[in-house]
Amino acid sequence: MLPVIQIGPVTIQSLVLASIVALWLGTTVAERACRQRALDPNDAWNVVALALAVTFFSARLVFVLQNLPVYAGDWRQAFAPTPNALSLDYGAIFGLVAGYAYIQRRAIPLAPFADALAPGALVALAVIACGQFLSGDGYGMPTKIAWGIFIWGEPRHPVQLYDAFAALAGLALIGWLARRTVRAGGIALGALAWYSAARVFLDAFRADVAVLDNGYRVTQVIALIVLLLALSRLTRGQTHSPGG
Amino acid sequence: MIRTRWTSYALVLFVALLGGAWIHVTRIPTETDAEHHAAAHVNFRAPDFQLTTLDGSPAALEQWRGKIVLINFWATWCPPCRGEMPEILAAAQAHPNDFVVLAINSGEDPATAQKFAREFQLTFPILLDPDGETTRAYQVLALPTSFFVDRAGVIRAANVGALSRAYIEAQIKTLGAR
Repeated sequence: MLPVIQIGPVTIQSLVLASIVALWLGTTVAERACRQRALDPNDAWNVVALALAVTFFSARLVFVLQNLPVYAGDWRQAFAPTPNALSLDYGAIFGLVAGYAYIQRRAIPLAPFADALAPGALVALAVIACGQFLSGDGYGMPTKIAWGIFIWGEPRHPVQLYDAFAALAGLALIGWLARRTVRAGGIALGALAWYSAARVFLDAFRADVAVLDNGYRVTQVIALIVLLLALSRLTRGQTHSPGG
Repeated sequence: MIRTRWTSYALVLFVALLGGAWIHVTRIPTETDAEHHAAAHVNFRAPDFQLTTLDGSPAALEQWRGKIVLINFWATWCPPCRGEMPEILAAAQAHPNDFVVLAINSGEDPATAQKFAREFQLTFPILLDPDGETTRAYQVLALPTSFFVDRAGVIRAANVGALSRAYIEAQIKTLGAR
């Protein structure tokens, strides 16, 4: 485990560093994919930058609203550089909405653009999973398997590495899909279906996860819903294909 | 066409049933590792420690069980530690009965820590960790690092970097409502 990384005089949390690398690498891959599809590569950077800015702004805003009585006495506290004073789940939703709004406003063709973003997203997810492996976040269930890693007091499934491998395997899958004639949006839906299916399966080995009252993991439930939506969309496309 | 459509419906239904069954079979009990293992991570029992305070009294985490505890690792040479101390002090003074701050000085001598405590007029216990054993047990690699421990002794939040008063209050509110 390597929760912090020392770069000269600067100490940075490995997960934060991995997230920065993930964003840069993922967007760079998406930029290249945009070029290959004759889309404006700047749109990849713009949509990521906008989504990111809105995510953090709204994450802080929601945190402040959730704790309004605390902030009411001194509103300047809302601008304090406390990294954890964020509601990132809600922030991410607003970030996605902002990204979608940008795509609509710029009249970017959604399906080809989503296809261009898909490989970058999988690369970013793989890097973030590696960052979690270093930081000890998102750890796995206790296990006796030979490849279990000793973390937080006992051997556990290296579920972060399973996650990274799944994302990279998804990258190989969409590389294979890209060499075939797939309708616009098919690559993005394939990536979404693959990664969601992987999370439904792999999160069964994850311990560091929000759990509903009845013991169901929130991430598995969300991943299954996304998988079913992606599959429905994929198969609908097949049934509506020309001559189908 | 009709056959293809029904095939796709069947595929989605099959995946829904298979996925649902897998999620059901692999659900986990709501009681997690926290109740069983001590580790310096959120949702685990906070590792206990035996240190001494500035006046030489013994201090163990166990003795504050039942209260909300903020374990704060700091040093006098660390600028963000200096920045956050007034915020921590204000929160501690606002909740004198229910909330305890254990400020663990990492690796400095008592005189240096004492001077700092006087400068900021700190009223909460200052614990000394001269050989850094507790700092290592909590895997603290950057200062300041803070852990919010609930009444049952389980770490519920961890923060690397300076705390703000509002963030501390938000954590107290969350843990108080637990």
